[in-house]
Amino acid sequence: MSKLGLIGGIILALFCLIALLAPIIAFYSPHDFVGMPLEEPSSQHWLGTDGAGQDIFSQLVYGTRVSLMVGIIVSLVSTVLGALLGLIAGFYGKWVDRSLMRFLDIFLTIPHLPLMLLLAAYFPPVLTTTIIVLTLFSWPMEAKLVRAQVLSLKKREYLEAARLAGAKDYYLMYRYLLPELSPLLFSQVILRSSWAILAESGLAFLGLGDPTVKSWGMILKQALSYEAIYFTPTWQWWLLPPGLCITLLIFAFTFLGYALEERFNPTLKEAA
Amino acid sequence: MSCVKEGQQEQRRKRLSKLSYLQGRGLEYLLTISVILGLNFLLPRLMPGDPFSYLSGIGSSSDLAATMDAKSEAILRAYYGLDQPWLQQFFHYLSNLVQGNLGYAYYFKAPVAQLIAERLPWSLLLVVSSILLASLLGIAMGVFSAWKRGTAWDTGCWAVFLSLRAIPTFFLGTLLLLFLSFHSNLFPLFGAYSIEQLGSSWLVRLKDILWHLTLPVTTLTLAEITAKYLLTRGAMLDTLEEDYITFARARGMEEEQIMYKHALPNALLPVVTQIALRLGMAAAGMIYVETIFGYPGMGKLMQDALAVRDFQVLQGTFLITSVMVLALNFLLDLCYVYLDPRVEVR
Repeated sequence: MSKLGLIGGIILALFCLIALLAPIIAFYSPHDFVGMPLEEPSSQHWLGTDGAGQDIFSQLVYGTRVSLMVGIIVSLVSTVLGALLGLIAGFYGKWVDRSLMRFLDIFLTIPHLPLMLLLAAYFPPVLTTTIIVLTLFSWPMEAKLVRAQVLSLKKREYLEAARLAGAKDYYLMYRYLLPELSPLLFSQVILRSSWAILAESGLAFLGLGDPTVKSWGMILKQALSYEAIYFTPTWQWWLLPPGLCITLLIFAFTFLGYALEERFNPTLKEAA
Repeated sequence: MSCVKEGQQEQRRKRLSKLSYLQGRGLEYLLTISVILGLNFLLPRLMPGDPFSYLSGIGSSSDLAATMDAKSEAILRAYYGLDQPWLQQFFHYLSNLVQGNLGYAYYFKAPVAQLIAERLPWSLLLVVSSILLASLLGIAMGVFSAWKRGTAWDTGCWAVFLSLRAIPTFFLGTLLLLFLSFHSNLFPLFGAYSIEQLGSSWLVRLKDILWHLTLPVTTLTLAEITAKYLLTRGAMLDTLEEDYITFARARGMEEEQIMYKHALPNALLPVVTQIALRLGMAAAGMIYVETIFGYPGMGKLMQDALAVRDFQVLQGTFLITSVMVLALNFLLDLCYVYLDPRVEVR
């Protein structure tokens, strides 16, 4: 199974490289009108052009940047936020914990996508809206996970010893709890990134993205709004590549995440 | 004699605490519904702008020429009750809801409640049959994997299911539609039934409806199955570590009997809980699937409303979808109480 994790890591590294080197790899800017609309693949346009005459291959290359950026920002912000609140709730317990848990339970039963659509519809269709909405909906899960972990860590005797030695609360959390939590947080960042990338493409597919920012989901959405996409061979170079890119990236994240979890969590290794 | 009495008392206490468990859950759902109602009421009022500031040009940044002066704006505000205190507006909103009035859809030019009522049955048909199918297949495959743990069968299943989850639901649906409907004509291009079959006998219509349902259900089932598989496999692997399983094995019990009689009933409990927790995700899948296959349910309605920013419809569908999810949650709670003899401990 760790072989799959290695493959995942390599794919992810490749995508990161593509994102970094996008201006070198792509021949054109994804926003320039560089050809006739709906050109077939050729040596100038490897994946042809879209309905507006923009180069699809360049859009795909720059789309890597958008997807990875959304994944990284959402996962980092929500993991930090969730870790902070989960740590405080788990550490202090009592009413802080009770009120947070009650809020989380309610929040997690409400179906998220309908609420996301409702919320996002009020704001202008820019990438920032997507990022804010996705973050808003992902920190509670992280908080819940961290809190559960803190509750089990809190009973350790060395914490009590440190407290008796005069350690303050924030010192206990920072010096003792946080390092113990870091493997969990690390694999959560990986898993949350893949969730965010998937969710971003989903929102774009449903029409809640920035039409000028060509994320993979947006390319797919625009391909699908071309009426003849199913009837002509266009789907092979316009519809398929962005979908395969999303799938490949999520695949990489999933198997890398599992491999890391297996590595950091010895009980899982035995079970598997 | 006293032993029997004690047993009866025990029985009564158990039943009572099951009831109080359900009562607790019910209260939680009521609280959730009030949060949803509060959100639905507050969101449009907290968000910048209202229907009239746009027209009058007051308090909006739009450079459109004002088409209404402040006085007529005030008159309209009073007409729609928007000048009243929020608490009063909230009671007005609630009394409307109780009467089944979800507002009027500006774009679709119909009452929202009527729009939803037309589409709800299709969504329920799609979602419930997909969840049932995904649960049955996922649990069966999970048990199979746990049975063959450590072998290539197990690893293979695990890798296939995880890869399946990497495909976005909307991409999976699009591919199925492309290959099975457009390229090979095996399934319809969109919709839930053929109009030309409306006058036919019920058997022909049923076949027609199932034919239309196949691809959407397949897509949603594939989207939901991995979570069920992973959960069952994990729960089974955990349960198989328990001492009583080792003991059963030591007594010389058949492996198959251990799996079905001893491990599965206990492993099912967390699976049921998780199926309930994932219902909200199924609602998300419903929106994608109905959008791709043009299936006339709540999800398609939501997506259509989103395209034209019909907020009344968006709010109504959000409310009803949430209530449906909560209702199904409660149903699964009942299943849980039935399945778990230990529930009174909670």
